[in-house]
Amino acid sequence: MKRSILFKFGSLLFSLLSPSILLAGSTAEFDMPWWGWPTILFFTTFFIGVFGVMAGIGGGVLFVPLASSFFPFHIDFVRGTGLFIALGSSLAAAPHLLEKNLASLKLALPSALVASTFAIVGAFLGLWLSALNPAYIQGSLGVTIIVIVFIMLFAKNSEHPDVTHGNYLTELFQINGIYTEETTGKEVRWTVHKTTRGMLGFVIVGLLAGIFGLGAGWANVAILNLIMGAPVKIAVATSSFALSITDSTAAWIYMNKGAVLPILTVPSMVGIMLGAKIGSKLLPKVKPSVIRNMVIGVLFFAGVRSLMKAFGI
Amino acid sequence: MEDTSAFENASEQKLYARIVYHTNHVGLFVLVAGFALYLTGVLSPHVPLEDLPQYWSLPLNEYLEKTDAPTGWQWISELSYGDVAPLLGIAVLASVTLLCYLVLFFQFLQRGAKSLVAITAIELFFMFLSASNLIQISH
Repeated sequence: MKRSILFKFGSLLFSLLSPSILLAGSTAEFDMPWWGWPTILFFTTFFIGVFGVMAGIGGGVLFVPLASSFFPFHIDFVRGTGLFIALGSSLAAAPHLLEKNLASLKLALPSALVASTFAIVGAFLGLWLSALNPAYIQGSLGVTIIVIVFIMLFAKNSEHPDVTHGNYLTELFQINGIYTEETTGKEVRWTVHKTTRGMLGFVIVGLLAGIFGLGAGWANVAILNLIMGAPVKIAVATSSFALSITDSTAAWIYMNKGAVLPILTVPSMVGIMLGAKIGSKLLPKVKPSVIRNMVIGVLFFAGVRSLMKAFGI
Repeated sequence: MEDTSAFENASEQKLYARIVYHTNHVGLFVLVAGFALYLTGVLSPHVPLEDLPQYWSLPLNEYLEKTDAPTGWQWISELSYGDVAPLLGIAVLASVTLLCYLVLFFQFLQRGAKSLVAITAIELFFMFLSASNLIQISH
């Protein structure tokens, strides 16, 4: 039964991507009415939403390499849309996660401050590099995506990491909290350590978010859980919530520079939000690890394609 | 015995959640309404829909030169154009976090949480700075 569900999902994933993959590289000659590409984009983002939730991977990290490699839109507009996709998904998820005490405001405030500040730097750097030559961005995006794939494959989250003792910053911002573990009904108290090292990690998160328009949730979780020692549930939820803070500064910059095209951004935001809703309902019925590996495979393919596009192949 | 009072969630967390919930819904409604006015042709755009494929693959600078699309806060005065109208919803969504931080700032100030007041004030500064379009780079 499970095998047949997975097979159907696998077939769907590849059928969703195959039209754009087949059309890649020949988009200029392909005669399609104006609504053709936005419609394909809507369905693609819908499936990104479905599979992103099931795989535990944010929409932005899938959207930017796929849309910039397989669609005719310029990478500047794709990155602007990527930021709004991540922002929209994060805003939709935040109320529930905060109410349940899974996302922590006290943990998000300092981390998002560092990331959002460097997202401004990243946004300008990205727009400047793209103005010099879009291939610089396309190529470095390809390399970044391939690195992300390896991080996703080899970084193993820890359910409840051992936290030794917090440092000055942990005390200053009182980074701790309590949540109820639904599977056991027990209250879990948590705090974090190595906060300074974690904050340095968020410098990179912010830069990547600004340069490439990626949500960077994949990196947030790794920093919060593996470096700072937050329980994995807190790390995942706080990461989802913090994206709405991190990406808002860079999103304003892309919007002010005119890099937000409603014909791309609106269908993509609506598509991914609808998809994420369906994905969260399907989640209990599938094996997330198998879906995750499939999505990582697609991501790797998109990274390679992005790199090839940068070299004009 | 462990001091349980040392572990607590920020009391402002639930308030933050409620603000996000309501303003996000307003933003989405305005976004979809603006986009519907654009697609149905009720508001005519700068660039006709059927001509868009000639422009969306252009680099940003070239696109702006050829279409006269608004940058910065020009869009406010051009909301009667179909392709500008959806930017209102996009701006509302981009402002949700800013609004939440304004509320947080005054809440933290009221309860005298100095470090949290400082952190929200710095974040607000960067949010206003990026939204203001005051930072410019030259190529």
